[in-house]
Amino acid sequence: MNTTLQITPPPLSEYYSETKCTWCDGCGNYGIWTAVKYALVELNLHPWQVCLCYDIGCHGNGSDKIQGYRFHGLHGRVIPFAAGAKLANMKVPVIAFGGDGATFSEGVGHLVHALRSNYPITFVLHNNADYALTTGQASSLTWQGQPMNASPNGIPERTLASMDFIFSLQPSFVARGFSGDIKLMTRILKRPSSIAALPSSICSKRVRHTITSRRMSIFWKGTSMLMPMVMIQAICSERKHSRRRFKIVLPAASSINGKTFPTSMSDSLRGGDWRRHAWRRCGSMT
Amino acid sequence: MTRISIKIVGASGQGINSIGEIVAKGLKRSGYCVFGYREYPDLIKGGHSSYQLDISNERVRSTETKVNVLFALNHHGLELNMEDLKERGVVLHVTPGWQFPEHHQKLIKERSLRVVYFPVDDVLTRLGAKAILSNTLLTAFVWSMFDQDVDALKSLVGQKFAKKKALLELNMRCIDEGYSFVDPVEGKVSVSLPSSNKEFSSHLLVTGTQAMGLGAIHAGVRLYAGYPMTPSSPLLSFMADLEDKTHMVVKQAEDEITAAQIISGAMYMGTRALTATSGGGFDLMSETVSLNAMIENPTVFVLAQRPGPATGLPTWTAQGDLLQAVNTSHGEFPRCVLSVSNSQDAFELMPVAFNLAEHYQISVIVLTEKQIAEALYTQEPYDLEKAEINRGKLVTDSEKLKALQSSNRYDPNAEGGISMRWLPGSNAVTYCAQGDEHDSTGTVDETWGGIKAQMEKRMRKLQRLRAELPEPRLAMASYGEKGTAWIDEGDEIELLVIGWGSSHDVIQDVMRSEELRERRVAYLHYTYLWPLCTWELQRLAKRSKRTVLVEQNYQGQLGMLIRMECGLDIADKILKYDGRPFFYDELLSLLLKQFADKINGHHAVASSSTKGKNSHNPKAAGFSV
Repeated sequence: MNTTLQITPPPLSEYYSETKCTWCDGCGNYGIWTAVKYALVELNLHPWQVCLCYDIGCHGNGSDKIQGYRFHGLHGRVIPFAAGAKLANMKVPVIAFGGDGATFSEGVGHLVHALRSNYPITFVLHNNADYALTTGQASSLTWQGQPMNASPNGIPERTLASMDFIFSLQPSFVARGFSGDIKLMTRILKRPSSIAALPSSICSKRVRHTITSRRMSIFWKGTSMLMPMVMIQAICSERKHSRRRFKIVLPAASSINGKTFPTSMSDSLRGGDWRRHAWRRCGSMT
Repeated sequence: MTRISIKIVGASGQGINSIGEIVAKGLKRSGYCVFGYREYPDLIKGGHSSYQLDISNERVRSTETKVNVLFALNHHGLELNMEDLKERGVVLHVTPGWQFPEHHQKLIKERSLRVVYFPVDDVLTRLGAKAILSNTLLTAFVWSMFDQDVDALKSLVGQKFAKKKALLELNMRCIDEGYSFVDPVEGKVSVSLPSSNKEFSSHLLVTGTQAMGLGAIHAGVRLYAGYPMTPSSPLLSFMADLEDKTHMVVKQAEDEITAAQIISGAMYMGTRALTATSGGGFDLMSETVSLNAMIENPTVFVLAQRPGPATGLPTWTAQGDLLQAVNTSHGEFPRCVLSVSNSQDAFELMPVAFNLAEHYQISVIVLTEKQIAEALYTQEPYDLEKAEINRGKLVTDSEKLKALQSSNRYDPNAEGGISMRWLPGSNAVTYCAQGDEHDSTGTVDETWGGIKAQMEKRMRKLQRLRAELPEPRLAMASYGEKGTAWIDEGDEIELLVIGWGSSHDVIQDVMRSEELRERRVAYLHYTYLWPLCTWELQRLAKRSKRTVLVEQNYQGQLGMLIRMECGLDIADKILKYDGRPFFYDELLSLLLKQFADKINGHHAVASSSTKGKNSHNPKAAGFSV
């Protein structure tokens, strides 16, 4: 299929914001922030063409450090807002950003049903296993036993196996990368065709599991024509932590192809209903 | 006005609603105004339920406590509802060999009741028909009792079964049997209806929910998200049932928070979107209402009230969530609260709500009640030509978009606090819809001047809204030859009634009663409840002998708001909080009692209502502001 894409990408400066960054030195948010800008530019998208939705937390403080139609909402609720925005105007690519607190505590229900509904949005999870903005309480991805603010004796709860959990929900596309690797993050962010809102070259690959580096895992299913819900987990803990973070074992390929990953087309279409639904029905009034 | 009423009682799931609806439809087609009222417990099957139809050849929009016909589909109805019958009423039942207890026998004698036993099982066996056809059989008998044309019923039932020939024939035989049935003891029993009024035959039969759904579609809603909670669930079902016709996105969300966020996202993107819930669900949505205030995102929420607290009484009615709507969520921000009262304004107010939301860039909360949502109205066809859509300061023109500055979005100096708004995807400078306090571009701003400017910007919208909202609507009984002109001539008002929501129609009916239509009674109806306009009220209260507040909650919440806003304390209150709406005869006698009582109203109403408990001001019966 031939699609006319804009030839000249917008200059990166279009995404420049005068607002000073307030993140701590070495924060993983810098990497994701930069990668998002690179990815949007490389996808030939001007700021006015995208909708960026932020949850609450340090990452959400990035909402005024970039250009684009942005939204900075309530804790844990970014996914349904982004889904509503997307369903209302399917022509605008929508990216939602959330932290591990929003995704796996306050808004875990939204994550579950968003994956079920397979909304055609991209969701970027900023995972630092920490509630940084509220000065360092534990999230459900903080490893068990780690002393944190409000749990000086180490957190008693078991750590939630985030990727196992996500895979159990039969997602369409999931990738995980390290926030400090901007090149890698850019590549991941560019993959999901839903950002571009146009079919791209990764279509027709039904189920694949790629490990391109020790630090990156991409899982996807279905074709880009389906414009699936895309979930990207960016690990952005400090180095001391990140070493520990990688101890979370990724599911083996077999289990992805077998038990937890649907392989038939009908399965993959089932989740795509919301996309087709919305294309057919909805449209902005203007 | 002659009114006739029939109450069908039995277990939920026994066919009460289908008999009620088919009789209502038939009578409406024959030229009668019908008002249907349902009472049922929070169960799918079993439990005592009722469907009452009040019928007249004039407009009827209320329910009486006493009925002309009691139609008991099981013996529980005979045990529980005999007291509901009027003098010379008819009891129709299907319980073989039923022996009325002594006190009921006495009642039958005293009120000269006519008892008809319909041997439904015998007839069905003879016809070889299944139990489900008892509905048709009994409907036909009711039809003959009202002396209606049998062919009209046949064509009505015929339409339903047009494609099932065998079933159609059986239904027609049931109609013949039911229609020709004569009770061996009572003989031919008939309840005469007044002469029909052809005007009604072209009307619609709609529930308040359907009216609201149609209104939403008329308002240009293209996305509906909801989570089931009675009495808002029928709206979700109605919108979903129409989705193939409207091509609207209808989403059953995983919870009310999601529904609220989805419609907020959609409105941010520029698509008119709606959600509805009841009090408990609205609690969950309230955080989103606050968010929308900060990002100045226009949104419309429907809050369908039922009695609380907690899950309270899911299938009963109330007006107890007014203060909840007015005070929803944290922080100080402008919002608009309005309430529908019947199938007419449930339709008309939906476009109004969206226009207000988009014009002022605020959340609009539309209140309805279980009573309105589920009552069956005879409704004159809606005006589908008139469709005023006001999207406020929405910029869509490409030239104007190019001229925009980021700081136009939340410009604190914007006139009336209403700044320009443009949609994601528009080729223009971008901005951030910022949930934190922000400057004019949506960048987080914690400077003292900036905070003050933005707060004042938002609150200026409330001032503007208050100035632009219509005053409450006045209706009055006609007074002798003057008709309704007496109100303009400055005559003293004998009784000024203040109310909102579903009370409207009952009060209107009561004002047309024999007892009140020759009195100088006026009714001031509040559609717009926040911000509250009190100028008209204060003016009228000064020339009223008595003022009484009519509400379906314990505290007199509208009265509290009135007092808060203008200091007027309405001491006389007719309050009801038993899950039932106001009934025609009940409200009539309560209002008549107001005339009989001392002006200062210190021994007012009784029964399920309370008198003004909070009256500290001895002069407060309607004036002294």
